[in-house]
This record gives sequence, structure tokens and C-alpha cells, in this order.
Amino acid sequence: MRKSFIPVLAVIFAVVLGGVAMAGNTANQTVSFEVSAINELSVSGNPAALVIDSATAGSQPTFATDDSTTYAVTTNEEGRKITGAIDSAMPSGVTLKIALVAPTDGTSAGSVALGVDAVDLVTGISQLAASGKLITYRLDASAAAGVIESDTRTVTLTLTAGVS
Amino acid sequence: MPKLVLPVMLMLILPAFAGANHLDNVAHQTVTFQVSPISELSVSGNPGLLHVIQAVAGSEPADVDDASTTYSLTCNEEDRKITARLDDPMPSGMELMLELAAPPGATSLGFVALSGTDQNIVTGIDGVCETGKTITYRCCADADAGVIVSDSRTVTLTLTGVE
Repeated sequence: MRKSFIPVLAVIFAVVLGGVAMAGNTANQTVSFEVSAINELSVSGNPAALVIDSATAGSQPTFATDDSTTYAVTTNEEGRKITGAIDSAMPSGVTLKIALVAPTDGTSAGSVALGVDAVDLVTGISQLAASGKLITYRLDASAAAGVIESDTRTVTLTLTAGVS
Repeated sequence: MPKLVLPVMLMLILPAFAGANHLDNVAHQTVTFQVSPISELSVSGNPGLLHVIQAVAGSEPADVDDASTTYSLTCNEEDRKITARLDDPMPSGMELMLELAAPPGATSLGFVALSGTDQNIVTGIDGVCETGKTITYRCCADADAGVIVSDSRTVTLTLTGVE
């Protein structure tokens, strides 16, 4: 009885292994993938101090500018825009403007005065990656604004939804 | 006890990273600005010749005026004034007077006789930007000044603080 049991087991093994070997030239895997919404915006640093210290007699004080910083943007969505806002209002008679060079296919709004409410700076941004895009700040002050000691504002740039 | 440390750290760290990613569409810049004191004054040119040439019999020679020039100023400070002085005194019996039209909010002192020391011409200037303000010179000569061959004086206008 024990002698006949071993050959039976060997036959069963061979059949099973033979079946696996026959299916070995094909393998299937299900690969799941996903690309999430990506909206990345960064700046290269802070601009230099904007100092107004001259004028032509009879004209308003000469504005100051800075174009030493840049921004980088990556988005895989369509219809994005970049807005800008400052954390608190500028002193009376003083205006801080910003202009962003638009990435390909985007549209720059040009030099725009910043306030505490977000304003559009670049619109029409869709599915792109761009870096080294110039940021230009301009400070204007009327004579009536008077003398202003060194002050700061935090400018928040936001890549957000919206065509206009 | 050590087995609890890792899960607790992960619980603290993961939300922090999640929050940072959520804000990656935002970038901040700090903008520093300053407006320094500015006081700029200029004139349009030199006035014409002030030629005392006539008189009514029995009266001193008639004064001669010139209002052909203007001044411009830009000032972002408060309580400024414009003073004027001559480089040399006028000849005996002669007087050179100056009047400046005042910018808004300031006060003109009218015709002021000029001398070798600074005289106030306009006071109370606060944060203004004006151009084309009239400068009027008046030349007065007494009969006893005699005849004076063409001469000149340099008038220095200064935009300065009230002392």
C-alpha cells in the first residue's frame, strides 16, 4: 500500500507543475497611475530696497525700481493665473507696483499697483513649466507723501484658478 | 515605550509636510521701501535787463519790473521756505526786490529787498510739486543813484528748512 502511494503523488505533482510551465510565457499586471493637480510657484528671493531720493524740480519724486528677482511656475492645469497682494496698505501717496513677465502663452497685466486685495498679474497660464521669469517692482511717491523711514510689505503671489 | 515614539513622530511630521504642499502655489517676497528727504528748486533762466529809463518830472525814476522767469520746486518735507540773497550789495541808491508766487498752502512775503544776507521770500512750504511759478524782479533807483553802467548781481534762491 505504501509503495503504490509514492508513484501516485509523483503523477499529481508532474501534472500540476506541467500546467504552470505551460502558462509561463505570459504575465499580466494591473498598473494604476494618477497625476494630481500640480500648481507650484516660487520666487528667487527678496528684491533690494526701493529708495526714492531724487526729483527734478517741479516734477514728482523720481520712482525707484528693482528687477533683481524672478519667479518659477509649474502647473499641469489649464486656465491658471497669478495674483498679487500685500499684507497691509501702502502709506498715503506711495504706490508699490509689480510687473511679472508672462510665461509662454500667458498674458502679463503689466505694471499693476498692489493692494491688500489680490489683483491679477498674469493670466492664461496653462500646463507649463517656466523659470527665471522677471519680477519688476516700482515704487512711486508723491511729494505730499513726505519722508518715509524704511518700511516693508510682504507681497504674496498666488497661482490660482481663473482665466481673468 | 520606544515602540510608541516612531508612530507619534510620524503623526507630527506628516501633517506638516501635507500643509507645506498645500501652500506651494503661494510665494512670498518682502519688499523694503524708503522715501528720503527731497528738496529740489530750479529756475527757468535769467530775467531780462532791468533798465531804469524814465521818470515823471518831480518824482523818483519809475520802478522797472521783470516777470519773465519762473521757478519750479519739488519738496516732500514740511515747513520749508525759499530764501534769496545777492552776491554783492546793490549800488547806493538802488534796490533790487524780488517776489515769488507761492505754491499752494505756502505764503509769499511779497516784494522783498535783496541784500547780501538770506531773506525769506516764501514760507510754509509743505510737500509740494509745482512748476511755472512766477518770479518777479523790481529794480528801484533814486535820482541820487546817478547813472549806472550795465551791471549784474547773482541772486541765489535756496529751498531750506525753517530755522
